[in-house]
Amino acid sequence: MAPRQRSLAAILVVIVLVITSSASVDAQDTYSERMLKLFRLLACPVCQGQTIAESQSALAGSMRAIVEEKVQAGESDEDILQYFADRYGDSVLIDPPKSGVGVGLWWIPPLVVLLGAAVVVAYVRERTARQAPASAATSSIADDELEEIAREVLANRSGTERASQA
Amino acid sequence: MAYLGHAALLLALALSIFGAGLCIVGERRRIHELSVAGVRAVLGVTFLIVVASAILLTAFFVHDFSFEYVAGRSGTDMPLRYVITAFYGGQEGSLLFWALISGVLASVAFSRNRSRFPRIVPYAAATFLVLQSFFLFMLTFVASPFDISAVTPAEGRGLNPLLRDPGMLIHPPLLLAGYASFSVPFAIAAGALFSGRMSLEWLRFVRKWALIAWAILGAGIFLGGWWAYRVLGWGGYWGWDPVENVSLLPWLTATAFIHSILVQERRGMLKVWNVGLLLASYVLAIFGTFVVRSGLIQSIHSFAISLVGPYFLGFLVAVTLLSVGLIGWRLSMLQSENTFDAVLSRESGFLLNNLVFVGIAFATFWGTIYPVVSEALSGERLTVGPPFYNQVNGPLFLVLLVLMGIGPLLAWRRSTVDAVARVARLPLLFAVVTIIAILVLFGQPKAAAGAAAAVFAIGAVFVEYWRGAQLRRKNAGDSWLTAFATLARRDPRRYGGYVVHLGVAVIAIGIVGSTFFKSERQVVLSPGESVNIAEYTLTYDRLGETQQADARVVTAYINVESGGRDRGGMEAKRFFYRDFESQPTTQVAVNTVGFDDVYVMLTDWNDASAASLHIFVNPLVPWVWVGGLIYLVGMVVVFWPAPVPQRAAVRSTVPEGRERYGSAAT
Repeated sequence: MAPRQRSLAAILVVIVLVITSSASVDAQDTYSERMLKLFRLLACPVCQGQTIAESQSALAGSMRAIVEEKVQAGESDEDILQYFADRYGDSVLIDPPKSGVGVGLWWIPPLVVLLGAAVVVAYVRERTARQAPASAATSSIADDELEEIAREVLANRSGTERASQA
Repeated sequence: MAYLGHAALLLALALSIFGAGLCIVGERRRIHELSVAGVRAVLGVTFLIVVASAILLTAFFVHDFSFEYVAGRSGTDMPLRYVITAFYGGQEGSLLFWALISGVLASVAFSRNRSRFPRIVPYAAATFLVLQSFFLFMLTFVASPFDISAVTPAEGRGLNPLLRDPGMLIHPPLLLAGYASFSVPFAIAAGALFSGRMSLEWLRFVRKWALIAWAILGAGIFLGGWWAYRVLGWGGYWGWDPVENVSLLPWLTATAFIHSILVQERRGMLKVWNVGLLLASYVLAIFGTFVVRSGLIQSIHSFAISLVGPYFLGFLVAVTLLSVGLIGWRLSMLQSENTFDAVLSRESGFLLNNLVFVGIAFATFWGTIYPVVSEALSGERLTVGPPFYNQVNGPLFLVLLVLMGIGPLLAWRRSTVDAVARVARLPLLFAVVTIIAILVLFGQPKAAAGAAAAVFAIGAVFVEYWRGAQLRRKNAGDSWLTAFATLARRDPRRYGGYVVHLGVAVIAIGIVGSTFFKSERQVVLSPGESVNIAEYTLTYDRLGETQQADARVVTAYINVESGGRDRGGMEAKRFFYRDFESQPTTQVAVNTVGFDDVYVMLTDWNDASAASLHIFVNPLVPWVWVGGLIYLVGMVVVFWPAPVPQRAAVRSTVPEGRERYGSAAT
């Protein structure tokens, strides 16, 4: 218990110091924001679906150290990520490359959406009744208004019905 | 006791197979009594499942560790509330919970509607009982919660520590219930396809139960985000993890369904598409369950990986084939009754909405399974993380937000650009102001686009309410307040839906804020040291250690200041549960100051009480939760019972074809 009491005393001293000096010196970052961003772009090769940002494994720890080293050495993000991809394969890249086997990943969804859009356009066009513009005159009253009027009429009718039943 | 539970499930299995048989024979031979008995079998099966669940729950309460399931998931020192969590905290229990929820919902749905739909409900009940017998088969022969261990341990192993959180009391059961509840609309749709009776009445019936399933699943997903934010400690609420993705899939297709079903109701179009979306939602719910349980795709929170994977794969294939086969067989009954009157109309707006929803669902599905696809193609398993989803789904969500604003302003059948522009003037103005303001203040074009789309959608909701209220004032002479109230009461689905839109837009603003304006620092502080982040200064006070019944708790006490004002203390904790000391869980400290969340996670510490802290400032995250509450209010409006006598009278006075104009919710 003695060490704890001693540390408590130390804490108190520090608190008093901080309060009296009221100088808030900014702390040193463990990792820079850029390093944290890179950690989240690298999967831990030996963990289940974790990045090296959150993994507690030894390998993730050493990968973090390498990232730190390389950032301090002034290497670019691409170079750092490529370094790990060369060593552990593309599977460490959380943001997979848009080339190679990644082509199918990145390009098929947009293609499917575009294809779907083409189908929708074709469907609507094919199914649009070819009406003469004159017959469109009915739509000068907004549909919502028509609906509202219809509902009013119906409500009144049912109201009178109920009244007559009573 | 265990034998009794096992017997109840076996009996339930036998009864559901028998009941399905009764329904089918009754319908084919036109023996009404058999059909009625078959539908009642749903009640009987559900009752037996309730009995089995009660037995399992009792075993948890009395700490009967002779049950392997109970011993593996609970301990005598665990707080009572987590005993309930333990019920569905494992494979066997969650399957039982699934069967329980779907059974209860189906019992309500079928017994209340049997007389209204005498030909559809027996087939629906038969379909449901077949689905249910798969789960009962699993519960009796593959993953029984009533297995007895050879030696009864004196103490249980305790629950997975990640599950020991208040959030776990509501998030998993709602998510599971959401998955399970899709079996009801699936059965009702299959029943209609089997019997070949698809009236407008049926549409309301199936829509109501689809809406219920959609609401439950949505609430489950939402609470999952809330739990992840507070417990997982990486500063966010949605990580595009495979388990999250697969829960989103049925929700996306169901959302598409509840929109496009309006087109079928009003115009008798898109029938194949709608029934396809509905069946697909259930197939995707099963797919999600399969992915989570088979370990096919790596995820940080696959709690329940086990041997049930192959069975679920078989079930998934069977359900898919059934769905495709049914639609193919009844294709001739699913022809459109109408054509489009104009390219620009509410109908085409809904089509676009569906395209985007299904597009997002596909991209999400594709990203989730691509690791497996790439392994098959090249032997290398790619990892698909948030950047993919942000880049592909991000723009699609943006389109969706814009559509959410424009859609309600389009008239049915025929609309013109001029007419839309006239009503959209004010929302458009607000959107432009938003874009300019964000570009000038922060220079972030993506954030500007997202926020502007959300503002536009919010504006559109107000325009719609205002237009409706004005009409009522003109036609019925109501006061503003009465007019608003009447709107929601008369057409709860439409005006409740707009409230849901409002909630979604508010959530979108929260997402934009927390995605694009987040700050983050990771620091080591000795007691008394401070750190500056965004406009906040955090001072680390001290480290404390306490003991609670089932865990040792380490707490870092932190104080927050900003603008020269004290913003209160924070306690970031780590829990070391008995028998799980090697995997401490996190309780993040969140301090909401105005629109910002100051978010602190205690990552590490040393003997000298120096603490390693991961600190985030997440702007606008509270908007996400507020948006969720608005969304819930919208759901309440939607489900609020419509004034019944009036609706009945309307229905009786409207001739068949005109019925579509009475759009009160069922």
